[in-house]
Amino acid sequence: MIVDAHAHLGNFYASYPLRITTTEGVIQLMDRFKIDMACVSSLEAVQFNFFEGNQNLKQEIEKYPDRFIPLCTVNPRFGEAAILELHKCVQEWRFRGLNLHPTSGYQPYPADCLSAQETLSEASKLRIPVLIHSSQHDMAHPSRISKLADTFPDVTIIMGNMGYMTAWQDAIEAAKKYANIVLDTTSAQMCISLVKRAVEVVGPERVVFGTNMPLDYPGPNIVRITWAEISEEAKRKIMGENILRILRIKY
Amino acid sequence: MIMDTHAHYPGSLEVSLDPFSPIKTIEDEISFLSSRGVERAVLLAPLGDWLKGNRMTKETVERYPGWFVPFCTVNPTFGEVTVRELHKCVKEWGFRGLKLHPQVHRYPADSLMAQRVMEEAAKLRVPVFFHTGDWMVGQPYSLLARYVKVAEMFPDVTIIMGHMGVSDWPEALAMAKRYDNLILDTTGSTITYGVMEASVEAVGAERIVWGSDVPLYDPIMALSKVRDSDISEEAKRLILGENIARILGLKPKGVEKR
Repeated sequence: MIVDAHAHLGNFYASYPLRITTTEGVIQLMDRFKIDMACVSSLEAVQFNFFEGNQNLKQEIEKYPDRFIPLCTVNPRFGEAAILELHKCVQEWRFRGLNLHPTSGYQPYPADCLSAQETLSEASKLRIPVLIHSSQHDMAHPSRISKLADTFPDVTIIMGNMGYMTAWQDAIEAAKKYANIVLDTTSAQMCISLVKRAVEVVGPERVVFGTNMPLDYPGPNIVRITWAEISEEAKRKIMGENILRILRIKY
Repeated sequence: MIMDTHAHYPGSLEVSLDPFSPIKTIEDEISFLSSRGVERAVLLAPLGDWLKGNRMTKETVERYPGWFVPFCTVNPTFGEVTVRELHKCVKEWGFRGLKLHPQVHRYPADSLMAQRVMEEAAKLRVPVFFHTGDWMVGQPYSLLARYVKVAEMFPDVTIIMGHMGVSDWPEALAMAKRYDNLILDTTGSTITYGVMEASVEAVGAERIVWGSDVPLYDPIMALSKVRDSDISEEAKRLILGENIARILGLKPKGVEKR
């Protein structure tokens, strides 16, 4: 059972034109790379209008209920409206987690700002995990995400991209200190020892893999796990079992 | 034949980006590359103490004939010392190209000092391998846009754009379309869906080379980026080794050994 912990649906309007913008296109990629299920958030929601983005995501995944696990994206700066949206997505639409992306919108916000804390407090009440994109940028640095982990010990925080380009060692240190942090290897720096080191320091139960489809190629993110110098059991956990356990999904 | 265009000598600076890398020596690097199916590599001399590094690279390459094609590293800010080193490396030691890293050595890629080295590269008829970076990771000295001027000023010099601008790769494609002397190096840093297909569509498969950034990055990820993309098998062969062999005028490995 291969479960992608970090993928997207929808279109992206910055940087470069996407080649795959349809849900069918993502399904084809999943089939080609033998990915059974994928946790997805809306690209429109990550960048622009999260109300519309979440709505579109809900409609898109209805066609493939056994392939996608939806995550609700909000911009915490919307305050009460963001919290209402999160409640609707989780309680009415059965979204399984919260997705935060501090640096992708037009106006980035610090991952540990008060409004983000208020949003996490709702995630705690709803008992859902939170995927937060992290990177070497100050706003989304693992040190800020550590602060959230410290404040909300009962919330599972998936450290998306585990520091991305140059902060992967900070991400591992953060997960070492806080037991509620899970490391997500998606599109993190391609350093040879990254996956092995993550497993050695925090154990195979707190590492998940993802592809970042359709923004990135799935292949490199898969081979980084399958070729890593870790046990076959650890690979199975990273490539599916862990994220299903975190999301409380039976299979 | 898979040939890596972007292998670093495992020097201290190179290894510092991944302190836990299993590759500490050149022997480690050879066995790691072999485990990934790579048979040959352009070996970029160390960036730290580059004068000493070029000598170490020369000695290493001699110990493993057939494995590495050496590129010397020079820092243009040393002026005539740089020019003399470049001439020695190419004419006496048989280096096949030079590596410039404006970001690490802190000079603008299009500076007068860099131009002086480019003039010598033109005289020596060797390709120049440049590190190119993007806005996102904050690399002002090696910003992709600086290479427009460099490409235009030195049309006779083959310029390999290391990392092809990282996240600024769409601009690298536009540049390579305009300037025939630019070669795109797909190494590391971006696994953006479609980067391979878009590159082949923009300039054809002949001007794209593959590299891994070993000992920092795992070649298996870089290989997947090419192998799993929707480009022809011929394009994959060219990109994974034939192009760089042609650019450097290399004979097939077996032939050279005999």
